[in-house]
Amino acid sequence: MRRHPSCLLLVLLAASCSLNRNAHIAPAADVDIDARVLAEFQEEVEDYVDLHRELVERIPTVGPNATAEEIAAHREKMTRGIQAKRKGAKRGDIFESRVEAAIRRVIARELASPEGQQVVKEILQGNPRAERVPNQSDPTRTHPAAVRVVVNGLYNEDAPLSSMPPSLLLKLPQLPEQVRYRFVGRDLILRDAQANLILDFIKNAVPNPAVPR
Amino acid sequence: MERLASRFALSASFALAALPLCGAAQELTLPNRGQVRFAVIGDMGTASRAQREVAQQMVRFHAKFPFTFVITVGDNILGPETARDFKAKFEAPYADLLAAGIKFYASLGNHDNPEQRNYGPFSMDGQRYYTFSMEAPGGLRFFALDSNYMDAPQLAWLEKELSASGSEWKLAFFHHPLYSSGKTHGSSLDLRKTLEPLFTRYGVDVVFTGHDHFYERVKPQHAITYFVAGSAGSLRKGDYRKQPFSAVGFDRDYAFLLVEIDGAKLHFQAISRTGQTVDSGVIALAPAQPTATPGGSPLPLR
Repeated sequence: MRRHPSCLLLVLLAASCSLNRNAHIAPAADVDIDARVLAEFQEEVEDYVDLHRELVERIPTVGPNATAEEIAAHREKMTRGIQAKRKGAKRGDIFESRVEAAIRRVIARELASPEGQQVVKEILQGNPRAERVPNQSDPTRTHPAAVRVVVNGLYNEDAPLSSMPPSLLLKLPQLPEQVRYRFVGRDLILRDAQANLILDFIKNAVPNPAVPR
Repeated sequence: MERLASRFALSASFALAALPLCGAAQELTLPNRGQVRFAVIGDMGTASRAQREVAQQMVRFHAKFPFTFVITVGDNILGPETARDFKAKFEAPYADLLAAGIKFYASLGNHDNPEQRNYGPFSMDGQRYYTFSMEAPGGLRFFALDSNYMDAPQLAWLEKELSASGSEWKLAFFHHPLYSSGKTHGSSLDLRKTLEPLFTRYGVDVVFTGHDHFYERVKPQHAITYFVAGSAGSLRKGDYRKQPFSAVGFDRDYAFLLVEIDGAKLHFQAISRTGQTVDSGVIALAPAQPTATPGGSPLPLR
């Protein structure tokens, strides 16, 4: 879904519509990203959220009193539906090059701040390249759970999810509930929690050797 | 008027590291007359024998201390989350408690898919973060947070709910500890920087967390008592490295926590898998005090 620069006006118009239809993804006050780049990103995210919503409307709803079976069945349908709809999706479809560059700058700035070490420590919390999973037979022992970072690929269910350091999260564009930032090693991924899918990623977004690749 | 939560641990008994972990279940140290009785568990969803043994110990204590609900501090279902996993890692180990009508209120850990918010027995009402109250003189309100993803909407919600709550007792629970002596994880400093000002400003009394796989009680920090209760199904032996802020730690066996609120006192008893008391004591609610200076503006979120 890459756009030609001459389409900028259309993009801005679309972005403005997107903001109107989803006021909840308005950027946090601390986000220091060029407005046009931000609008571009929001447009891509909204395109995805529309797809997500379309699917949610077509499959049985899961209410707040669901059984484990209902939740699992719903997730499977969401996963298959989104994978089918996004067949052929590739890296950079959502994190377009200017968006990727802007987000890299935000992360680098945050890590270079006096609290940078605290941020790195949080990124390591639950990060599947740094944290292991307790064994069922003996929970005092653990095993690794690898996550293969691939667009439209399943996030390994056995693996933990990284924390998002609040101070960094508040400087990144705010996302709608359907989509979340997470770290896998140094990669920043976009993940749909309901479908358990990796939507896009920024390779080596964390420029810090303390975080394993 | 907001109040400064100036609370003190009145007493605490602790045995811990040298405690022999054998023999029959010990006695209840809680007064067992309070209006609110509940249990705290965390990092439990492993489907392990240890998880089941802790759950059975909870059942034994429930017979003498009829707690009416359980709060979880996350990592409710570790590993895969198929329907079979929900049964093996939650429904089966806690079957006796569930059958007794005990309600579970969950918070999300870093091993939990956020879709657990729709799982009926977790009472999350479809929300990643939520609040509920219990009947107690002066009021008691719980705030369940999603510490994996502390974004702007959640922080705005938390501030709104804390400021609107007139409850005397305000208890928060979530996964990542703001204070922990864990060698593996330890304190979540970035999260602390974000949450502690809100907790202090709005008079949160006690915070329950997990993530580090042991039991720990932290000395009051800015008048708030913190617990780490992350060993109801996972354990990192030898991971507790006592920090200056730590009051008590226990990493030799699995454990859970019982809590009783009796008026202006919160009693607690941490119990090991074998029924040994590893910590107990009382936290008192201090009289309300104003925090806002005349014309003062709210503390920034961060």
